[in-house]
Amino acid sequence: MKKSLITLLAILGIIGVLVFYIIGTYNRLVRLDEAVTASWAQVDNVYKRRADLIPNLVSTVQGYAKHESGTFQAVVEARAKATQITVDPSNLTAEKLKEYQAAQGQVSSALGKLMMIQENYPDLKANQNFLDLQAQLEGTENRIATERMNFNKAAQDFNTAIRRFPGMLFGFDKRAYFEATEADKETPKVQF
Amino acid sequence: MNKKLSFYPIKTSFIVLFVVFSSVIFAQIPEKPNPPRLVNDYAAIFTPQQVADLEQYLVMIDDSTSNQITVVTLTDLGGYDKAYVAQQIGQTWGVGGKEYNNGIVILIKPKTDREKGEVFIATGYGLEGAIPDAICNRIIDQQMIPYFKQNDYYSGTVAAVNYLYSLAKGEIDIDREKSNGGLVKLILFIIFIIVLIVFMSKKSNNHDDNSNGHTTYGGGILPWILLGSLGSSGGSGSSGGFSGGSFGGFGGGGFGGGGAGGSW
Repeated sequence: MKKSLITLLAILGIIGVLVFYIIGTYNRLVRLDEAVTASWAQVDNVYKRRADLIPNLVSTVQGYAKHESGTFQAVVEARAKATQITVDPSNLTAEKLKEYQAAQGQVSSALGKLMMIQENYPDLKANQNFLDLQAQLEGTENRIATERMNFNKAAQDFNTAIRRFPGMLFGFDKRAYFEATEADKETPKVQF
Repeated sequence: MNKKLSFYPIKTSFIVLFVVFSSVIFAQIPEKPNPPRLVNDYAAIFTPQQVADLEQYLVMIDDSTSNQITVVTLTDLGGYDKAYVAQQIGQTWGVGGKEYNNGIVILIKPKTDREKGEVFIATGYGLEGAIPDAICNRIIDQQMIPYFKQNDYYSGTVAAVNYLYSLAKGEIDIDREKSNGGLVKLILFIIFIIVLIVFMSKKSNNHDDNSNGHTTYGGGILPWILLGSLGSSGGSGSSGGFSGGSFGGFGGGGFGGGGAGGSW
């Protein structure tokens, strides 16, 4: 009688530990998943910040270089296209991320060409307003790089956790990564 | 014998590779200084006296406003972008407080015969508003590079720190000693009062029951121990660590890529 009671308690104890273990694992995965979503919000934020800079930048450059209308148009169009894409962070598929990245890559490349214009206009290069905007743009690009790195790290942590035992039992979907695309690579490097 | 010898080149090449790699990693992001210090002149562009003066100035800024400005000089960025290196130093060292993310990294790579000089000011998340990128850029162009061009690294750095100090102070201005010491004292005082009240009430109960004398003694001593610790903590608070002129350590602040750079 007593022996069976001890066995029963032991089994209950083991089950209890297992249940807590599983709950803990699940909660950890949810936390990691939320971290990915949160870092996506940061990525989206810094890209928005760049989009907000563009009108000011274009109008400043336009004041000095009226004949470069093709370049201005390319920037404005790429910006319009990129801001149209809205991404639901909880449903961030690899295709959606690729689309987003391609659109932002277009903006990067158009902006790179815009910033190269300054080489032909010494007055523009000396304009304090332009220098400030240039610093802001550079800073924004640095923030984009940082937040993309943070996002990839969060996604990697999550993806590792869902592939490992016991995380794999819950059947979470893998989160997508940012990749270095062709558009990123062909961005002209501007020596400021 | 021959066989043994033939392994040698491989082994040594591995060792050479390892040494090269570890030095590259070091050049890329220097280790967090231990003991912690705010001036890290790895490129040796300051005199020892200048290092000491600058350190004292930066420690004073940290003590009086809690904003942490660290100056790092390197001879080699390991092929990485200066913005990345400065941001990584800030992030991995944890410059600035965890709560306010109020750190600043000033990274300087001195000009050599072959390479341009590079400078970057990286701002922590919490100071991006107070010190916008455009302002960092102006500080570099107008305050630092004119001095740097004359090989006067110290004056340029101090001029930049002056600016950054006043801008950061406008956003976050917390006196470390006062706030810490005051809070600890207050908490201890409240605990003391609570314990005193609890034991006083117990004591009077015991007297009514007239049963156990031991608890009366125990209750009498504990509050006084607490009062004693209150007094001693007050003393150590004012003389501890910070005001002695040494740096208390980095606080775990975060960096998101803010700031600006320049070269000459």
